[in-house]
Amino acid sequence: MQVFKVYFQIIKNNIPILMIYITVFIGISMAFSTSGQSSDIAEFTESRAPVAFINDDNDSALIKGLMEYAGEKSTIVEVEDNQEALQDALFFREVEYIIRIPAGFTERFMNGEATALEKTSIPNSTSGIYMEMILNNFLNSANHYIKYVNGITQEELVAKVTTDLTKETEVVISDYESGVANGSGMAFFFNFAAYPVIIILIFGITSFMLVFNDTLKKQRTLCSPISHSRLSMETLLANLSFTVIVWAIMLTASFVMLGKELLSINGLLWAINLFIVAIVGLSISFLIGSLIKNKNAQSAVANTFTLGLAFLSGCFVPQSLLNEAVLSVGRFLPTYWYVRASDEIGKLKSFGWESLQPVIFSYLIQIGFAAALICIALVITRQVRSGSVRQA
Amino acid sequence: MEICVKNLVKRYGNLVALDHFDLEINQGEVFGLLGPNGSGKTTAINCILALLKYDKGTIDVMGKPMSPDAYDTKRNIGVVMQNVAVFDELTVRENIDYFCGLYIKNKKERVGLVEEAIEFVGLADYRKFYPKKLSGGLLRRLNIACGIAHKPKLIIMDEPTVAVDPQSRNNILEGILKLNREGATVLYTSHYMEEVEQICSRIAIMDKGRIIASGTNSELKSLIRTGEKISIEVYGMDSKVIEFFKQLPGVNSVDYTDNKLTIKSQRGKNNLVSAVDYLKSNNIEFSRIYSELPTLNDVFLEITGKELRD
Repeated sequence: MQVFKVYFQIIKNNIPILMIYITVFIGISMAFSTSGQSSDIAEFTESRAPVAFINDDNDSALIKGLMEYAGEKSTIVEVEDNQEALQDALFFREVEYIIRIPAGFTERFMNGEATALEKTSIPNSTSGIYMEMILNNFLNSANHYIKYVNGITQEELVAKVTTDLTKETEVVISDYESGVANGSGMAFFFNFAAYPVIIILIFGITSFMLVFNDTLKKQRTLCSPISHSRLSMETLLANLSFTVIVWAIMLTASFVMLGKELLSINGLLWAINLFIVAIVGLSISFLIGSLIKNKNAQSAVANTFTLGLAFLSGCFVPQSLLNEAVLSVGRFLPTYWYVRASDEIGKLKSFGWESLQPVIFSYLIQIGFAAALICIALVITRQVRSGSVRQA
Repeated sequence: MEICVKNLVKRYGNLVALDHFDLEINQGEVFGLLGPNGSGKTTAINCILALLKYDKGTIDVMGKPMSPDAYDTKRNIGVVMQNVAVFDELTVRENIDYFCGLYIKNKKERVGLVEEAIEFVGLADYRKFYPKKLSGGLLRRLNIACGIAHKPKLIIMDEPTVAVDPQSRNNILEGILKLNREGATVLYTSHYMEEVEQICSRIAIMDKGRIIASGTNSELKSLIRTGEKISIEVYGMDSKVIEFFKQLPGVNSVDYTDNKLTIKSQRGKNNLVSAVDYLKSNNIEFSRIYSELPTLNDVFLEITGKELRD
């Protein structure tokens, strides 16, 4: 396995360059994951607005009940009952809502007559709206009992309304029983991952090919008793091993970044997609390696080609934001189908044949691209080989 | 016979690189293939090693026809190319191990062979050096070590001393003779006639893709008329003096260029004393005088009309 050994020796020499791409990828992914954190509220704490009650009526059971209920949802503040003191309290935000219970309110309410509380609040205050909802809840419920239960006393009314309003319904979010919660975010991560995977493979594989296919070294190897098929086999094995290593590194980075959510069918599909694009990267690298002749060309071609692929395919910018002309060109690139599969996987909630079809279709197109690129590279390699022998 | 090439023709378009080229090398020989740049030496070697396809002829190595898949034959051949072909990414030891490993699968055996090769070329102090850190001479030695580490029976060396300092060159030449003493047959190509004269038991001279003469060193020199070459640094000489020297017995040619008088005469005709006497008696000022036997360059010059290094 001499060729296999020397392959990884050459790769070892290129580790600093490869590490730059891995670091940049992880750095950018971390930056995105931090800045793009979801603003969804995970926890809820009831806010309690400061409220003042001015009671011009008597201290009836109804009014006591109302104040008790309101007191559970807000903080009741004592304020002196004169115009100036009340306005000051509002201005300095000592209270956000003042409720004045007019004289005769209890009697009129219990008789089912029209009556209203007087309310003063800070303009555009959300606390005011919230407080209004609380009062309406209580009084509407009470109104229903008065309407439909004849002869109900104030104590009974308050007890029934309070019981009704303290009832809670448990809400369970069951949307994501299957599939992943942050599908589009994860898809974005995997879309971006295609860029470092491809460029690392191009740098690694072309570095080996540049060194190994150098005419002089090639001649020396051809003078030895190692057969051409063994040479090809060892090279292929080394290329595949390197591809698997790069894929495994990126997948590990994905686990570190995205966590346990990847342990799902979506995660498996993304991993397969990433592996297929790595094979595409291998075939692209093989093609570029058979065309370029020196290190300068390697750097220029690798960067230009990979950036072009990434921009036209939607690795950096979501495909939904790309215009139709760009997408039309993108359709002829394997990475377009990688991104498309990745986006589809992000949306998957069920995993039947129907839902998986577009993903598998994109997989197959990528594999087709890889096979075509390898064939072209083999034709070029054969021509270059016969040409170089003639020149020797 | 280690190498037998018959009637080999190789064309590059309209250019005939090898023109009915014949070569026979016996076991245990150090065979020199001498010729100016572009005479077809490297093409001939590439054909012998099955690196190049040829248009006509046959090549047998170690009694078997040579082809790209003649792996059993290749196993016994060591190649040292004209240009250094090593991996910059591997150390001296790793390079030798890699190339040796293409021939020897057994790791234990290989370790010993690699160490032997390192000692042989005198790179013991540079085992862990990368090729970029080595001087031109050391790099050539590494190139040789990579070609001979597996102890081949036949070693093909294509101008291994190009651009090498004199000390390294002597080491390389001594090393080749040592390999030969250990039983290896060596095919050595060069355009440095002194090297070929120094180490080769038989020599073939090539020009324009053909062997124009072959034999031992003395056999080749006996092919030409010149047996002695007298060179004298003389200042201010006229045509009358040149005419005198032409009249000396057995003189083939007289040349006076850049204050240097060269008299070439037939074998056994010693004209040195006569020449010096004449210069003295005619008060012609002269300084350095030396007499030498003909070189392979003279052989090449007489056969082709041009210098080996043209």
